[in-house]
Amino acid sequence: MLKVMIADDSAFMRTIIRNYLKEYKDISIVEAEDGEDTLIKFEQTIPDIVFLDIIMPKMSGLEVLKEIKKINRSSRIIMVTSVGQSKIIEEALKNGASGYITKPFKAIEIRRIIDKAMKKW
Amino acid sequence: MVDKELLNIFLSESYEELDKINKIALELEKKYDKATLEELDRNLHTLKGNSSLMGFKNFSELAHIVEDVVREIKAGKRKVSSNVVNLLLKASDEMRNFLDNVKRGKEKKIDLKGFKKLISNLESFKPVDVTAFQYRTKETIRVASSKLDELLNVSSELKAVISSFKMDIMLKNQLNKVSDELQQMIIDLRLIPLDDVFSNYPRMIRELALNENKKINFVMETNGVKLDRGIVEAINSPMVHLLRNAVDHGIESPDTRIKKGKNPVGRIEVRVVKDKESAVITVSDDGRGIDFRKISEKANEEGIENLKKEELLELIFKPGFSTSDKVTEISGRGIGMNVVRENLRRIGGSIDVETKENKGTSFIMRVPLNISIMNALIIGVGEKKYALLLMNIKNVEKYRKKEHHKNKYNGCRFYNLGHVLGTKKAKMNYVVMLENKSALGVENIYGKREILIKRLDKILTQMKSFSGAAVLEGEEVCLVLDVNGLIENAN
Repeated sequence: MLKVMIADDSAFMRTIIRNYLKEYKDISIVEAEDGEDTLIKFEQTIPDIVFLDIIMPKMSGLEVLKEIKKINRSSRIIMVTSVGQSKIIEEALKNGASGYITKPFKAIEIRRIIDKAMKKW
Repeated sequence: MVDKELLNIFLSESYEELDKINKIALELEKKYDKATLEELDRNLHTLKGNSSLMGFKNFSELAHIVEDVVREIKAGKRKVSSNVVNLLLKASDEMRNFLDNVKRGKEKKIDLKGFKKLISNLESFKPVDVTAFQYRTKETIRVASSKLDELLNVSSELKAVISSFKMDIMLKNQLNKVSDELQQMIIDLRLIPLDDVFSNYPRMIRELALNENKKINFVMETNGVKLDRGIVEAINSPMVHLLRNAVDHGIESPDTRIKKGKNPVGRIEVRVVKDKESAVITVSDDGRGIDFRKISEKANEEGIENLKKEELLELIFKPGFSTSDKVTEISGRGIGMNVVRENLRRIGGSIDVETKENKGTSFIMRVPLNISIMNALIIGVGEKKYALLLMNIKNVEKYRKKEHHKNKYNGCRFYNLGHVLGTKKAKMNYVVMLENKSALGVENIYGKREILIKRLDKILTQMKSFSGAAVLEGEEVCLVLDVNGLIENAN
């Protein structure tokens, strides 16, 4: 079972990503709605992949990323970004993020990431 | 094709974000810190990202360019000015319109060029139009209020049917309990938090003050009070009227206030508290107060002289009575305090005023929490029964002749209910002391009842003494007395 975490303060955004993952059978999904919530749930579940929003209440995605990497280096962190955040993306990649998607992303982008992880896993 | 469920999540989340933006925008002028700006940034960012995924490019771009302005403020490149606040409010209005249209299945383009022009020229930006202020309720299912009325009627019929059948007492108690619960649930369904309705007022006051070149600190405390839908609808227009009056006639210009030694920033307060079966809503300002001299002059012109202060204050509630010399944009255009009182009276409410020269004016409204079911005292004259709402009653006592001197009873103004309603022989066994400092002599007291009030036809409402009708046990119908109307008729 591949463990995927969706960390975003927007319920809409979480629903979109969850919908894109519907066709996969061997997948379990955890949702988090702010930076602190993400950290707590990450520690509890140690997911294989995290879709991590950059702008969230309580702790930003970047701060969360740094903490997560201290807990488990092997989880793949995909930053969910917007147009015009290239500096933040650069910093995230430096700090151990595996990749990023930019809103408005397409279903295929999410699936590609999952497929790749499934193969490795 | 967009998934309907997804669209609904998008809409409700976006409306919430817009509410937050509006709230923050209105606070920005008073004070703000890094956390507030960050929250604002996040709200706009969420709107931008979500709408882009929904394919609403135009909407997303508007959120984006406003987000840029907020980021410039965060970076210290731009200051918060009232024009920035106006921009935020105007943008959130525009986005809300867009969402409203999407909800109706239409997608209307936003004039982005207009917004870009506004942003590049924030210095000379005019405030938004203030003419239409409507309140919006939260995203929930819509039920016609008439359906809720029907539901309430049906449940009260159910109670009547249960009480008319002979059956096992245990069963009867159980049925009564369930039907009471049902009725209470229906009553609760009709309640709306005042916050939802009043949330437009800070914005309205801000715009009005801008137009009048006045500075106003607006404070509102609704204390979580919820009122029946019907009541809320009935008080909205009186509230708007009182608030407009407070801005226009109450609060002085900053210069005048400084000359009087007052804070140049005026204060308007709305406070709501729950009291027994009613809500007391106070609208007060710290402005110039009501000018007794002017009212007195105006009264003299109409041939009324030698009035006491309380009587002069009563005059402002008379139709066609206005002391305003000028007709401003805001008030002085016909609808007056008499309409305010009339609106409140129709729902069984009342309004009083307290004022002090240069200290300010307070309007105190008392409205029932619930329009339909109320506790009443059933009183009577001869064979006839009437209902008097408990919220109007202070206490009831035996009639004592020695307290009665001409038209005074124990210091209060006295009325014989029978005489007022046109019965010639009217015995008096009891006296009902009313909240409005008058006393009502009645022949019979039948006790306290919970009654379902039905509104009367328009023709009957011309009879000021009554505000509705209720069905008592055994299908007996009684009229509900309107205390203020009754006394007016008597005078």
